[in-house]
Amino acid sequence: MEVSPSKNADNAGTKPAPVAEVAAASVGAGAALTAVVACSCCVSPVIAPLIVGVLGVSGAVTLAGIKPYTPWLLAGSLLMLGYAFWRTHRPAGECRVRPRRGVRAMLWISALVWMMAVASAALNAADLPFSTLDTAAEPLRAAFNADVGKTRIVMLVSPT
Amino acid sequence: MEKNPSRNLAVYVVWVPELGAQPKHVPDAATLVRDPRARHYWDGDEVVGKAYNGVLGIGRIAWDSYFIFDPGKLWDAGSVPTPDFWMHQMSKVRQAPMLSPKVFAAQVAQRTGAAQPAGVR
Repeated sequence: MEVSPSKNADNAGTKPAPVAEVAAASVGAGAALTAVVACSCCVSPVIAPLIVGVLGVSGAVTLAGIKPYTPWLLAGSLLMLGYAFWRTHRPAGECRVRPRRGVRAMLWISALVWMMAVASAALNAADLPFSTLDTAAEPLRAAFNADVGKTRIVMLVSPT
Repeated sequence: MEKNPSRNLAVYVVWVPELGAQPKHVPDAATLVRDPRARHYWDGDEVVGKAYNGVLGIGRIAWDSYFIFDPGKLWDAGSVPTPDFWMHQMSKVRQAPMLSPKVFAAQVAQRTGAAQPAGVR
Protein backbone atom coordinates (compact mmCIF):
# COMPACT_ATOMS: atom_id res chain seq x y z
CA MET A 1 0.00 0.00 0.00
CA GLU A 2 1.44 3.29 -1.00
CA VAL A 3 1.37 6.24 1.35
CA SER A 4 1.26 9.68 -0.23
CA PRO A 5 3.88 12.04 1.20
CA SER A 6 2.54 15.03 3.06
CA LYS A 7 2.21 18.20 1.01
CA ASN A 8 2.11 20.49 4.04
CA ALA A 9 5.29 22.58 3.87
CA ASP A 10 4.87 23.81 7.46
CA ASN A 11 5.72 20.40 8.88
CA ALA A 12 9.01 21.73 10.22
CA GLY A 13 11.69 19.12 10.55
CA THR A 14 10.06 16.52 8.29
CA LYS A 15 12.04 17.62 5.21
CA PRO A 16 14.57 20.34 4.33
CA ALA A 17 13.40 23.72 3.04
CA PRO A 18 13.11 23.93 -0.73
CA VAL A 19 16.02 25.56 -2.50
CA ALA A 20 13.85 28.48 -3.57
CA GLU A 21 12.97 29.30 0.05
CA VAL A 22 16.60 29.20 1.12
CA ALA A 23 17.51 31.40 -1.80
CA ALA A 24 14.84 33.94 -0.90
CA ALA A 25 15.97 34.01 2.72
CA SER A 26 19.58 34.40 1.63
CA VAL A 27 18.72 37.30 -0.64
CA GLY A 28 16.87 38.96 2.22
CA ALA A 29 19.82 38.47 4.56
CA GLY A 30 22.13 39.82 1.90
CA ALA A 31 19.93 42.88 1.58
CA ALA A 32 20.16 43.45 5.32
CA LEU A 33 23.93 43.10 5.27
CA THR A 34 24.21 45.51 2.35
CA ALA A 35 22.08 48.04 4.22
CA VAL A 36 24.28 47.75 7.31
CA VAL A 37 27.41 48.30 5.21
CA ALA A 38 25.76 51.28 3.55
CA CYS A 39 25.18 53.10 6.81
CA SER A 40 28.32 51.90 8.58
CA CYS A 41 30.16 54.96 7.40
CA CYS A 42 27.99 57.30 9.36
CA VAL A 43 26.66 55.22 12.19
CA SER A 44 25.44 56.24 15.57
CA PRO A 45 27.83 56.72 18.48
CA VAL A 46 26.83 53.26 19.69
CA ILE A 47 28.41 51.48 16.76
CA ALA A 48 31.27 53.86 15.89
CA PRO A 49 33.51 52.75 18.80
CA LEU A 50 33.07 49.15 17.71
CA ILE A 51 34.16 50.00 14.19
CA VAL A 52 37.16 51.97 15.45
CA GLY A 53 38.08 49.15 17.81
CA VAL A 54 37.93 46.53 15.07
CA LEU A 55 39.37 48.48 12.15
CA GLY A 56 41.42 51.11 13.90
CA VAL A 57 40.93 54.82 13.24
CA SER A 58 42.47 54.61 9.76
CA GLY A 59 40.29 51.66 8.86
CA ALA A 60 37.20 53.38 10.16
CA VAL A 61 38.05 56.45 8.14
CA THR A 62 38.38 54.26 5.05
CA LEU A 63 34.93 52.87 5.78
CA ALA A 64 33.67 56.44 5.96
CA GLY A 65 34.53 56.69 2.27
CA ILE A 66 31.47 54.56 1.59
CA LYS A 67 29.22 57.51 2.39
CA PRO A 68 28.88 58.78 -1.24
CA TYR A 69 27.67 55.33 -2.25
CA THR A 70 25.18 54.95 0.59
CA PRO A 71 22.08 55.81 -1.49
CA TRP A 72 23.07 53.27 -4.16
CA LEU A 73 23.76 50.57 -1.59
CA LEU A 74 20.44 51.19 0.13
CA ALA A 75 18.60 51.16 -3.20
CA GLY A 76 20.31 47.91 -4.16
CA SER A 77 19.44 46.29 -0.87
CA LEU A 78 15.83 47.45 -1.27
CA LEU A 79 15.68 45.73 -4.65
CA MET A 80 17.09 42.57 -3.10
CA LEU A 81 14.48 42.72 -0.34
CA GLY A 82 11.70 43.29 -2.83
CA TYR A 83 12.83 40.29 -4.84
CA ALA A 84 13.01 38.11 -1.74
CA PHE A 85 9.50 39.14 -0.65
CA TRP A 86 8.14 38.51 -4.14
CA ARG A 87 9.71 35.06 -4.20
CA THR A 88 8.09 34.09 -0.93
CA HIS A 89 4.70 35.81 -1.30
CA ARG A 90 3.91 35.54 -4.98
CA PRO A 91 0.62 33.82 -5.93
CA ALA A 92 0.81 30.09 -5.40
CA GLY A 93 1.44 28.06 -8.53
CA GLU A 94 0.49 24.50 -9.23
CA CYS A 95 3.43 22.93 -7.42
CA ARG A 96 4.42 25.79 -5.09
CA VAL A 97 4.35 25.22 -1.33
CA ARG A 98 3.77 27.84 1.37
CA PRO A 99 7.08 29.26 2.64
CA ARG A 100 8.19 28.23 6.12
CA ARG A 101 7.67 30.53 9.08
CA GLY A 102 11.42 30.89 9.60
CA VAL A 103 11.95 32.17 6.07
CA ARG A 104 9.18 34.74 6.41
CA ALA A 105 10.57 35.85 9.79
CA MET A 106 14.04 36.23 8.32
CA LEU A 107 12.68 38.47 5.58
CA TRP A 108 10.79 40.70 7.99
CA ILE A 109 13.88 40.99 10.21
CA SER A 110 15.90 41.94 7.14
CA ALA A 111 13.31 44.56 6.25
CA LEU A 112 13.53 45.96 9.77
CA VAL A 113 17.33 46.15 9.53
CA TRP A 114 16.99 47.98 6.22
CA MET A 115 14.64 50.55 7.73
CA MET A 116 17.02 51.10 10.65
CA ALA A 117 19.89 51.60 8.20
CA VAL A 118 17.90 54.22 6.29
CA ALA A 119 17.02 56.02 9.51
CA SER A 120 20.65 55.97 10.65
CA ALA A 121 21.90 57.33 7.33
CA ALA A 122 19.31 60.12 7.42
CA LEU A 123 20.16 61.10 10.99
CA ASN A 124 23.88 61.26 10.27
CA ALA A 125 23.67 63.06 6.94
CA ALA A 126 24.60 66.46 8.37
CA ASP A 127 28.31 67.35 7.98
CA LEU A 128 30.39 68.70 10.85
CA PRO A 129 32.22 72.06 10.55
CA PHE A 130 36.00 72.29 10.69
CA SER A 131 38.63 75.04 10.79
CA THR A 132 41.77 75.34 8.69
CA LEU A 133 45.04 75.82 10.58
CA ASP A 134 47.46 78.58 9.68
CA THR A 135 51.27 78.42 9.88
CA ALA A 136 51.08 79.09 13.62
CA ALA A 137 48.62 76.23 14.15
CA GLU A 138 45.87 78.70 14.95
CA PRO A 139 43.05 78.38 15.91
CA LEU A 140 44.01 75.02 17.39
CA ARG A 141 46.61 76.57 19.69
CA ALA A 142 44.13 79.09 21.06
CA ALA A 143 41.53 76.39 21.70
CA PHE A 144 44.14 74.17 23.37
CA ASN A 145 45.18 76.94 25.74
CA ALA A 146 41.59 77.96 26.42
CA ASP A 147 40.96 74.41 27.68
CA VAL A 148 44.04 74.48 29.94
CA GLY A 149 42.07 73.10 32.89
CA LYS A 150 41.07 69.98 30.99
CA THR A 151 42.74 66.80 29.86
CA ARG A 152 43.23 67.26 26.14
CA ILE A 153 43.67 64.82 23.30
CA VAL A 154 45.18 65.81 19.97
CA MET A 155 44.77 63.32 17.13
CA LEU A 156 46.66 63.62 13.85
CA VAL A 157 44.76 61.48 11.35
CA SER A 158 44.02 61.28 7.66
CA PRO A 159 40.39 61.41 6.47
CA THR A 160 41.09 58.83 3.75
CA MET B 1 34.45 59.24 24.12
CA GLU B 2 31.04 57.67 24.62
CA LYS B 3 32.39 55.71 27.59
CA ASN B 4 34.02 58.77 29.15
CA PRO B 5 31.42 61.46 29.82
CA SER B 6 33.87 63.67 31.74
CA ARG B 7 33.43 67.38 31.11
CA ASN B 8 37.16 67.80 31.80
CA LEU B 9 38.04 66.31 28.45
CA ALA B 10 38.63 68.14 25.17
CA VAL B 11 39.51 66.51 21.87
CA TYR B 12 41.08 68.15 18.84
CA VAL B 13 40.98 66.08 15.67
CA VAL B 14 43.59 67.40 13.25
CA TRP B 15 42.99 66.04 9.76
CA VAL B 16 46.13 65.87 7.62
CA PRO B 17 46.80 65.44 3.86
CA GLU B 18 48.22 61.93 4.09
CA LEU B 19 47.14 59.10 1.77
CA GLY B 20 45.92 61.62 -0.82
CA ALA B 21 43.52 63.34 1.56
CA GLN B 22 41.99 66.71 0.70
CA PRO B 23 39.76 69.12 2.61
CA LYS B 24 36.69 67.72 0.84
CA HIS B 25 37.25 64.40 2.65
CA VAL B 26 37.07 65.96 6.12
CA PRO B 27 33.28 66.43 6.57
CA ASP B 28 32.52 62.77 5.96
CA ALA B 29 35.39 61.52 8.11
CA ALA B 30 34.51 63.95 10.89
CA THR B 31 31.20 62.19 11.42
CA LEU B 32 33.23 59.45 13.13
CA VAL B 33 33.76 61.83 16.04
CA ARG B 34 30.50 63.67 16.61
CA ASP B 35 31.00 64.21 20.33
CA PRO B 36 30.37 67.89 21.22
CA ARG B 37 33.67 67.93 23.14
CA ALA B 38 35.56 67.34 19.88
CA ARG B 39 36.65 70.00 17.42
CA HIS B 40 37.92 69.39 13.92
CA TYR B 41 40.75 71.06 12.03
CA TRP B 42 42.36 70.72 8.62
CA ASP B 43 46.17 71.02 8.66
CA GLY B 44 46.93 71.16 4.96
CA ASP B 45 50.60 72.07 5.47
CA GLU B 46 51.07 69.53 8.29
CA VAL B 47 52.33 72.32 10.53
CA VAL B 48 51.60 70.30 13.66
CA GLY B 49 53.03 67.04 12.32
CA LYS B 50 56.26 68.72 11.21
CA ALA B 51 56.67 70.38 14.60
CA TYR B 52 56.25 67.07 16.40
CA ASN B 53 58.95 65.50 14.24
CA GLY B 54 61.46 67.63 16.14
CA VAL B 55 59.83 67.42 19.55
CA LEU B 56 59.43 63.64 19.52
CA GLY B 57 62.58 62.88 17.53
CA ILE B 58 60.87 60.40 15.25
CA GLY B 59 62.62 61.40 12.05
CA ARG B 60 59.43 61.91 10.03
CA ILE B 61 56.32 64.06 9.91
CA ALA B 62 54.04 62.84 12.67
CA TRP B 63 50.59 61.62 11.74
CA ASP B 64 48.34 58.72 12.76
CA SER B 65 49.34 59.82 16.26
CA TYR B 66 47.29 60.32 19.41
CA PHE B 67 48.55 62.65 22.15
CA ILE B 68 47.27 63.18 25.68
CA PHE B 69 48.03 66.37 27.58
CA ASP B 70 47.42 66.81 31.28
CA PRO B 71 45.61 69.86 32.64
CA GLY B 72 47.83 72.88 33.02
CA LYS B 73 49.96 72.33 29.96
CA LEU B 74 50.15 75.34 27.66
CA TRP B 75 50.99 75.58 23.97
CA ASP B 76 53.63 78.28 23.54
CA ALA B 77 53.93 80.21 20.30
CA GLY B 78 56.52 78.83 17.91
CA SER B 79 56.55 75.30 19.33
CA VAL B 80 54.23 72.44 20.25
CA PRO B 81 53.62 71.01 23.73
CA THR B 82 55.22 67.71 24.64
CA PRO B 83 52.53 65.09 25.19
CA ASP B 84 52.27 63.44 28.59
CA PHE B 85 51.36 60.19 26.88
CA TRP B 86 51.09 59.21 23.26
CA MET B 87 50.56 56.33 20.93
CA HIS B 88 50.67 55.99 17.17
CA GLN B 89 50.26 53.78 14.13
CA MET B 90 53.39 54.82 12.25
CA SER B 91 55.85 52.22 11.03
CA LYS B 92 59.43 52.17 12.36
CA VAL B 93 58.67 54.58 15.21
CA ARG B 94 59.80 53.23 18.55
CA GLN B 95 59.53 56.30 20.75
CA ALA B 96 56.00 55.37 21.82
CA PRO B 97 53.83 52.23 21.70
CA MET B 98 51.55 51.35 18.84
CA LEU B 99 47.97 52.42 19.37
CA SER B 100 45.91 50.22 21.63
CA PRO B 101 42.43 51.72 22.01
CA LYS B 102 41.92 50.09 25.41
CA VAL B 103 45.22 51.30 26.81
CA PHE B 104 44.67 54.77 25.39
CA ALA B 105 41.17 54.93 26.83
CA ALA B 106 42.50 53.79 30.20
CA GLN B 107 45.07 56.58 30.18
CA VAL B 108 42.37 59.12 29.41
CA ALA B 109 40.10 57.68 32.09
CA GLN B 110 42.89 57.82 34.65
CA ARG B 111 43.54 61.48 33.89
CA THR B 112 39.90 62.52 33.89
CA GLY B 113 38.83 60.42 36.86
CA ALA B 114 36.37 58.41 34.79
CA ALA B 115 35.77 54.68 35.23
CA GLN B 116 38.45 52.47 33.75
CA PRO B 117 37.50 50.58 30.59
CA ALA B 118 36.77 46.86 31.08
CA GLY B 119 39.66 44.50 30.55
CA VAL B 120 42.42 46.95 31.43
CA ARG B 121 44.28 46.70 34.74
